[in-house]
Amino acid sequence: MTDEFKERLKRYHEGQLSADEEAEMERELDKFDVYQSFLDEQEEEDHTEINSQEVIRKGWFHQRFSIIATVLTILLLIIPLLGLSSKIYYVGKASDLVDLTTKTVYLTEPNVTVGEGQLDVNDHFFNMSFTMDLYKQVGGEKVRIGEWDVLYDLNRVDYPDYPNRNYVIENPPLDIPRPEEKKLYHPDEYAPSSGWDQLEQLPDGTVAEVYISFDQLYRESDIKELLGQMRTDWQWFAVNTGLEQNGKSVEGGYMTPIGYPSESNARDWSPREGIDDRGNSNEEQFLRVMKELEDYEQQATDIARTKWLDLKERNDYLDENGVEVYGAVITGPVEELLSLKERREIRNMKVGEVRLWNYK
Amino acid sequence: MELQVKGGNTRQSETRFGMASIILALIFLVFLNALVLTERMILPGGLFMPLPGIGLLCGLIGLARFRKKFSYSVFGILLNGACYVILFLYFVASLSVYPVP
Repeated sequence: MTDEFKERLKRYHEGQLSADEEAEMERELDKFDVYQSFLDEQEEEDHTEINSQEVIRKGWFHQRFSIIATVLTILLLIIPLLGLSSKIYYVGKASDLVDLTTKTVYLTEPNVTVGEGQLDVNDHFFNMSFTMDLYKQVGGEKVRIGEWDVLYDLNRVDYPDYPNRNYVIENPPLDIPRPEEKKLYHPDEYAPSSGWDQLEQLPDGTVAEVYISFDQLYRESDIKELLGQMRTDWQWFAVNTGLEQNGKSVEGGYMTPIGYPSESNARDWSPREGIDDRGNSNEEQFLRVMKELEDYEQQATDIARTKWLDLKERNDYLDENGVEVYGAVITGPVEELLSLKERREIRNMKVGEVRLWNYK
Repeated sequence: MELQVKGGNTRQSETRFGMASIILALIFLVFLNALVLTERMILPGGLFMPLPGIGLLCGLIGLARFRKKFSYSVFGILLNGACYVILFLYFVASLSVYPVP
């Protein structure tokens, strides 16, 4: 802006310009208005452009955040939901599977009981595992013989990797039973020599677990008086189920005996107190458990050492003929056991576990 | 100029509280994954357990800001609530799998 224009502007302001000069001055000032207006518009456009960039940047950020949050949420929810589903699957079912396992042990392993107290059941992704401590009554004490680790995938045993059997006794039973380890014989079955000589060689003051085979089939109540007032006690009865005569399964495989504990304590049938506490005799309880196991025969067969249970055929036979025993496991002082040698009811005897005197 | 004034009155942006709520829920889910996979508290539970509670609080604060969008806040509240529900059911189911008589 020149000094001359300033002087003219001052004179225009004071009204000293001629009419022509005044008109010219006003035309020039109008140009300034247009210029100012242009500058204002330009400034506003620049400002708007800056805001748009900010909005776009924020939009991109929120879009990316939303996608990442959604994907992470889905991925991170998979494992907790699967874990929860697995837990819910085993609610109720775990107890049934544990009972199924322990009952199979009681019925297929002579004089073997599962350790008292709660089992430590661990469930993982759609499988569950637990360890059972196994005991035998030898003399006056329960002797720990080992443990079985059991793993269920859903409701099936992870066979053949499980049960994983670990024994701490000198002569553990074979994982796959063979006729050589047979200790109980049906009356109509050939029986090798008895183990009385072996028992006679044991020193006084020792206690033993012996497997006795009877000369015929008996009802439990008929044979119970055999031991009289002795300290020796019944532990387990082997039941005739129609297949023992040949000692082979329907398919021809070697079968181990099936039976029931003589212990009247209902809790011994299950680690969970009261599960079978229905006031029934052991015979009735045996028949009921046999029926229960028939519904889970595959699982019971996987758990048992013997690979043939033939529960349907056996249950049919038991329904028809009732419960008759052909053998039993007893334990007591060796002197008392030797006194049974001449009893006509005892056809064969095999020695099991032996311990030093342990009666209190 | 008038457009700018109107734009400022609409719910055009999310709250930071809503975002914080979602992030806290995701951190807790990581802890929950570790817990389920290992069946043990390999991460300090005392540090992680309050996270969904704080997340829920952040979500509610985010909802209270009426001039802002609240989709993050709602998502955060739902996710944190789901975390607590899953955790609760998980422990209840754990105790019920093989109940001690």
